[in-house]
Amino acid sequence: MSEHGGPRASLAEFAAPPVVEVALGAQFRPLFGLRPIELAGLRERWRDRYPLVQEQPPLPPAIESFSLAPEVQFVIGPALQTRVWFLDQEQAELVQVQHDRLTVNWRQTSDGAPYPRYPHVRGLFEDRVAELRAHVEEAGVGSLDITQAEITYINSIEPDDGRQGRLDQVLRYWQRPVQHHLGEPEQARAALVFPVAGIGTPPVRMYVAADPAQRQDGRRILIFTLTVRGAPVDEGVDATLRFMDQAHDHVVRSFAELTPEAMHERWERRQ
Amino acid sequence: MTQLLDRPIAGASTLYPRHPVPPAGLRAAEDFYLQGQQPMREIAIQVSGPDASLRRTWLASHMEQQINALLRLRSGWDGRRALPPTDAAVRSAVGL
Repeated sequence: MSEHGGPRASLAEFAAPPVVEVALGAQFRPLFGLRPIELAGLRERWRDRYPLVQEQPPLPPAIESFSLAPEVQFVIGPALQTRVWFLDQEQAELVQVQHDRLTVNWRQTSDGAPYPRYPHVRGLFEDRVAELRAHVEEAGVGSLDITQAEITYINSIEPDDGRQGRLDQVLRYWQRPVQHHLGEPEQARAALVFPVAGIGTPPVRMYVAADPAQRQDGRRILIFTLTVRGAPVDEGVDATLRFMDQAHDHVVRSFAELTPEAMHERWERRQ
Repeated sequence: MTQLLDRPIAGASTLYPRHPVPPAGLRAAEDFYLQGQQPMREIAIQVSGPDASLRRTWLASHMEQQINALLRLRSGWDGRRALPPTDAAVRSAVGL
């Protein structure tokens, strides 16, 4: 995690943050003409940087609304849609495209690979969204009208001795149930939702979650996820990037404020 | 009915994906509500020869077997929202 810069309160900075994935994404008004075959032009444009391609099931829309209850969302259009992944050779940089969404991911695909920092990932998103917008206009399938933006930080935290009930090692205010007759829980999870004021068009929310997980090598970890999602002030790319910058600041502040100071030493907090 | 408030987050994550999976029973219930009870269907293909006799050709038998296998598919056979073949689709296939 690092300071973004600008005339704001200085943000916490960590030399060795536990981040393993960052995703910057935008949802836009559905472009049903943006079928996989129409992505062939993007495939060629991106082939050098992203030589690998995979297909995945599409993600459902995730639109912030004033009701916290799950809502049924109807999308009228062709049923057969897909999500295409464009990956670099190391599979660390990933671009996800579907008819109503673009997301750029950085992933730690090898142990110890350093987090390239927010400006780098933001730059990737800025370039990809510009290229997608140009492609959409050239293909004549519509225009990119962005309705939601989101950023997600996913952190992998190894609790002492793999004890996944130790949420106190992730959340500063978690109180261990030491008096419980069954002892320490084997696993624990927590979820927090915060309204975020002052950025984008309300409602904007931050979702924080701590969940048990297991790495491919079998090590038991806790995944600490922070997501900010909402509508930018308008449907243009500039507003989306401003939203992401502000959302990033909230994520960095929340990461520092919600996690225990004892862990900050492990992550080498610099300020 | 008390409803759990549960919103999917971080859907675009890939290393530890959080895709919400609706319960199979919920999908079956939704399909029943939208389409009604699906009756069991089966076809038999009979070919009439030039002398109006009914024949049982290999091709007809093979098609019958394949189409009836497809007609036994239930809603959601692909694990998502796929529907079984319609009567019109079956008629078209047989017609071809």
